[in-house]
Amino acid sequence: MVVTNLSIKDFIEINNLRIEAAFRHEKTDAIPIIIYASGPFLSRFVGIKTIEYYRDPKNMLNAQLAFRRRFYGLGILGPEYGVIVEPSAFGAKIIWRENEAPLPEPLLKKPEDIDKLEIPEPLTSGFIPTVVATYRYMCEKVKKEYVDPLSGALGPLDIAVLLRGQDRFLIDIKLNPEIIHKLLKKTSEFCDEFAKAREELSEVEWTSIYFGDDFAGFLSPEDFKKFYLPYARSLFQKHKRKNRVCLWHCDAPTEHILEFIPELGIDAFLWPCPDTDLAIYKKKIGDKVTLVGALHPDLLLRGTPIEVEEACRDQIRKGAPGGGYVFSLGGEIIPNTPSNNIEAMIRSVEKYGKLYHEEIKLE
Amino acid sequence: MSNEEEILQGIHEAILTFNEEGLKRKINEAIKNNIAIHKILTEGLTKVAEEVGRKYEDGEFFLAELMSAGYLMEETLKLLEPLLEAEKFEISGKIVIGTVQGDLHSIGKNIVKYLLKAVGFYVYDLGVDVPSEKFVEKIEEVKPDVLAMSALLVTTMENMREVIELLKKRGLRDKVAIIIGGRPVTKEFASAIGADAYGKDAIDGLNKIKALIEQKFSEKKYINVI
Repeated sequence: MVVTNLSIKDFIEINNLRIEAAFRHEKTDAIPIIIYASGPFLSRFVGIKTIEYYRDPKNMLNAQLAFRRRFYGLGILGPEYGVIVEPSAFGAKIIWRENEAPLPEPLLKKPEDIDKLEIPEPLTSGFIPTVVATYRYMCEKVKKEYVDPLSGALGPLDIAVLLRGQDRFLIDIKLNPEIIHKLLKKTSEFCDEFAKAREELSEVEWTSIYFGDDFAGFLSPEDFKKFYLPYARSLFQKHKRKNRVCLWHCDAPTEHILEFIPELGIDAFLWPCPDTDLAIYKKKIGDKVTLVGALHPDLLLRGTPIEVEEACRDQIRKGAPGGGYVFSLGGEIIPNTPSNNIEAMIRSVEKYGKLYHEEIKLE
Repeated sequence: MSNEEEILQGIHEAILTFNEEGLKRKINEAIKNNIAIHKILTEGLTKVAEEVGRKYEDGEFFLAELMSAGYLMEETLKLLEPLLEAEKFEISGKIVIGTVQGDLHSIGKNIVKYLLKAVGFYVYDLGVDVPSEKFVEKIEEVKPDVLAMSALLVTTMENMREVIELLKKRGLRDKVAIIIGGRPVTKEFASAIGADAYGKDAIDGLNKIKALIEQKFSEKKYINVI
């Protein structure tokens, strides 16, 4: 182990303990780190086409393991299919692309289609059986405790937007608001049932539950309160447990809705928009919600290792004071990001995460 | 206020309050009252587009309002288009627009498209996930004044550079002004890839495109407006 004096196993265990503490909004002895790399990056990282990563669980597992071996056990380990899973369960066709993540095709062409939309069976519909098979395959090949127990999924808003199409969804908000509520009721119900089914399948007690709703940041404050907050809050409430943290992700700009984010009932906000100053997030909601972010992925792609180090230091300086902070990118790693920069990021977090977490005050 | 002014004001209000049925009624009323189509466009839609832009810049409108107002303006254009030809309304510029390959996001691109149409430009919309070659082919075919490219993903914005490089290879780069936009796009990135302008949002994009075209017609060349 180069970065720390620990073995990779010890480093990861300690990092995970720090993440858990940070999610509980506690101060940690050093700043932990989460890295999210998905198919488009990982496939290039191991020199295969992205579609080969997504269509063969062996390739997916090998690519994820290769990343973890290279970067000190960090990175995901589990079925990862982007945004296709939940929409496919409702019947959306999947568009497979050679070197990009697959995407669902909008299904609900007309407002009337929303009335006919049925809530799918959570484990047998669309692409979900493949996800289940990949999960089982990964659990067989590596120790089950290392595989993500399927505790993360798309939230009700993103599923609704993907089913209706972004443009139509935005227009419906103003022209046909009642059908948007109908759709969100259905997608929320599915999110609830799907989470229950995944937890049962994983046979472990989840310590976290995650919903991602990038589209929430595209709503006005008024529409966020009307079309998102009640649905998401209810979902988190249903799945909140004593020893479980609620994680939420949205990497669209959220500065205009920041004050309402704690009302979601979440413990941590993962990967906020990297264009917004983390200091603002910290100042406005940092005492209520743990922040996970937000180094700009573009800087990690294009910057030099020295620039990466400076930017990491800056993020930690803004995010660390008072606890409740996990270092990460503001999103996922962009394809072809140089390994040297990823390495520089991990080293910088270790270096400044120890030095700065207590002492530095926000200016 | 004259009857004509009242009808035009009604169109204006219907769009800004997202009243689709009310808008259709007002347009039919305008046609029945023989209000010149170009007047509905210039004094109706153009003013609405300006007000939509102002409300967006003031933080009163967000994406849903932009998209819905844009959609209603396009619906208005669809109703009026068949009648436009009879008046020989002059198109003030041609724009090819699209989201680059690998990217299926359309919101920003469509808002810009709606607004451009509303203010009288002719827009060739290539859609989303557009291969670089297709942009070049369309430019060769229709010889637009401006090429507008959008990307919402950091993973796809590099494809904008590819389009510009292809245009250079084909000797077309100097024949068209290029503007790029989308959430991850920055002014610096626009400069680095050799675009003429960068739109920080849909409204800024519209204003920059207007500036590029005005420059073209006044000076017969493009000035970088980044």
